[in-house]
Amino acid sequence: MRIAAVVLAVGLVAGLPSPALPQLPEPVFWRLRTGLRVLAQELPANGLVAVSVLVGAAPRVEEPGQAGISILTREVMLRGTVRRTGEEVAEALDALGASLRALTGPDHTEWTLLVPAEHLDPALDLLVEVLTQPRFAPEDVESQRRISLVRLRQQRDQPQARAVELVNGLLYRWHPYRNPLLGTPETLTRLRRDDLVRYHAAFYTAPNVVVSVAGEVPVPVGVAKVQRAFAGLRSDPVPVRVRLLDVAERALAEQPLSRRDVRELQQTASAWIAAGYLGVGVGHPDWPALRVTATLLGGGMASRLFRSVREREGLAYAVGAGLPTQRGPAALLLTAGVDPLNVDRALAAMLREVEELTTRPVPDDEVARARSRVVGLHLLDHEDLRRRAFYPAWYELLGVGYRFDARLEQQVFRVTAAEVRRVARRYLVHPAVAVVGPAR
Amino acid sequence: MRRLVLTSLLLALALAGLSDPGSGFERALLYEVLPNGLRVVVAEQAHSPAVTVDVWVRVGSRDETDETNGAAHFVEHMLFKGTRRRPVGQIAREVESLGGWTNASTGYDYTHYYVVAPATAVDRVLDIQADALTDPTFDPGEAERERAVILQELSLIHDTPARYAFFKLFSTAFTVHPYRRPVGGSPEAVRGMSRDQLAGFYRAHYGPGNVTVVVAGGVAPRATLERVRERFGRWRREVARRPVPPREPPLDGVRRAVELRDVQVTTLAMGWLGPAVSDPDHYAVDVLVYALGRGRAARWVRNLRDRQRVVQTLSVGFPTARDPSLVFVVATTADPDESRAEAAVREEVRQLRRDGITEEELQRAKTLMEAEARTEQHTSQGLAASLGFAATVADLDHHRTYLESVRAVSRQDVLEVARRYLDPDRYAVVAIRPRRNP
Repeated sequence: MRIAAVVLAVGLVAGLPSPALPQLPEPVFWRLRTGLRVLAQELPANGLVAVSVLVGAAPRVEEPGQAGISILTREVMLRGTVRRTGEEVAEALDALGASLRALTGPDHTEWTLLVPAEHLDPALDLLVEVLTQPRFAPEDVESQRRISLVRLRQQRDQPQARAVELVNGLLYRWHPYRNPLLGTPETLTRLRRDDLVRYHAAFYTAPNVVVSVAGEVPVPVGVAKVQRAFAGLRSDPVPVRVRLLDVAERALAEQPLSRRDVRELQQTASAWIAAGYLGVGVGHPDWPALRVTATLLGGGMASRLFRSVREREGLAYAVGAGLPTQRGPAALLLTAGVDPLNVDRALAAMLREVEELTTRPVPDDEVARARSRVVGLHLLDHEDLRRRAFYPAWYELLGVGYRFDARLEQQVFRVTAAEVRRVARRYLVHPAVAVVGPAR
Repeated sequence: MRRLVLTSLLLALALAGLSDPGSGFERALLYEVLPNGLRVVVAEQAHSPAVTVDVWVRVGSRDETDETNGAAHFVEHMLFKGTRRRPVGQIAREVESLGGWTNASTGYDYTHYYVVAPATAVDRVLDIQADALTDPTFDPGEAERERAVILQELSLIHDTPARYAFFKLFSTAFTVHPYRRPVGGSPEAVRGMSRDQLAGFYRAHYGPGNVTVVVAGGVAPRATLERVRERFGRWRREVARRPVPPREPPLDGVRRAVELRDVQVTTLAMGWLGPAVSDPDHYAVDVLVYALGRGRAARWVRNLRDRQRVVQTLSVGFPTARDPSLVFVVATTADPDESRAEAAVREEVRQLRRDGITEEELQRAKTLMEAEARTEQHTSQGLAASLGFAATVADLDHHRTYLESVRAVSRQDVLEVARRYLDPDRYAVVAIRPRRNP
């Protein structure tokens, strides 16, 4: 039934029947006695295996005054274990042809290993050593602090990143999402080695970790290898404060009652606009409709913002909108890079498109295109083996379960034009607006 | 160089036609030149949910003059705008309603256009690509709108110090060769370019003899090749011969460009003239670049960033190009100016010319290059880009032997290219300094 609906919807736009989408297989799931959750899927991948370790150690769980501790901890962990220096770890990984990337989002820190299948065991051991036996040498903390402070300054030099940062500050008054992922100069300067050690001990624990294996390794073999490698991971429960967040965070990020604006001067050639509306987290029933709404507004070259602000009026080079996938309330964010002379006109044009969405009926074919885009991009992002491992583990960590990965398609294809209008009216009301650029 | 990494296995199969290596990964790779001169490469990745159709054209900023600088990039912006069959905006809508996305990029030697979509949509994607490439309308109104967009894009590059420094380094190092002109052109040139100039540039360079169509992903190879023949086989147009650009003379000292900006961090870029893709030296230069700058254990990352701490970020590269391009290093430093970082790089170059690299560094670089090749090619987009870049900037045969040639590089080869191309006293340097100390 669902496939038939897709064909019909896409056919409406293009006037041609469209083929069904390839299906994503579901991984196999285990919960070990320690509380560690393990996912595995076998698939051909040019002789590679990806192991994604998702940890709930991210800005969402940071305490006030410790903004940036997740990334600082992560980076210092990469600088050495009790047995080897960071250089030795890097050298050992290079010698195996393995790559390790560590990324932090608002709700998670991701450690993803990509390795030729024949070197999986030693690479996995190295990864686990990094995760469980960091040495947190004081000199490593100091040099990483210096680098992070420079990165923070660099980020502030980029008007686009700065505009988003300012909007988050306006939207999330008390919620930890208000801080930049890297932290602030004040918190970064204050964090001590002991803070990092405590943070690591509290959050790098089995119940707070999901491990996912994908690629050219049979499922039982992959699971056995993970079980062996992670056997030493401590099984302490997540702090109570964090478990209460799911309940408390709505109050920490209240819907604003009026529009808020901030402007910051920066001597750049272009100006950046960011306008954010407080939306919902991935587990909320309105999330699929809000995601489709964001796409319809500003996802891709057929979106309303692109067609009007860039194509019709030529007011911006880059313009778009998106709703990130977050556990807590996410912001539907509109952004545009514009000529400083066009700031007011571009902003007005962007907000006009939002207004239009809340006041006029939305054509079905446009909603169908947006749905297809959301689902298609989600599918295409599974091409990369690292993402194939990452996604189900991420959804598991975000609290919607690993199966959400395969079910997202269904949920999105159920979104109707009426729902788009409903969520637009409900959430796209009072924006927080930031403009960063030169004086006019 | 990144683009050049490609396993020899794949190309061996290409030359042998349809075959099955038994790995269960790429089960087939087809290569064919159509009667009109258009080249087709089809690579099957049976398990993949996606397909990438990547159309590569042998034209880039290298084919421009001072007057037309920016034309290749401007044409790239115009091509997916509209055709006689598809009015403005329809291509984007069509691709997005398939659940796919599209993008394009222009370089010194090439322009390419790619659509990534669910594999089941391959026929429709080929139809769109063929239409966009062979029958664009160059709508005058669209050209005006796109001009504003491009000017904005150029100012965004200006605001990203690392990217800006990279282009500025090329315009500082090159004096006669067209690589001195920035890809994308200058704002003045873009402002002055007429719609007819763009259409003329398109007619001169876009013909089947200049184009390679690469299809990679979860597709049936024979049937897909047949579809490409149907869509592109009737296209006829003679293209202009590529001019032979003047040879860039070697640098005779330090050539410096400094800019003061309203930034908080100093950006430093240094460059040396390297070999062309046709010169076998480039294999050893690629190995050298990996040994110096790729990964946390790379020599310069370790020495300059982690030990001496004279830089905070560092990248070392050598973009493979038809003519000699630059071995470059781009770094940021918290210092108010570039002097300490620059001196440290020069000292590293001196040491390198004296001692070369160690056996461990050599093996590490090669292992990384092979692993990156495997990684790059495991997605349809990466595989298509590798193959298309190969066919456009070098040739497929070069790539059949690429990793083999890398494996054959010795420490002595690396030492020789380090001495031949890197020099502590002859290089180009660009610095972007904060106006005030932070």
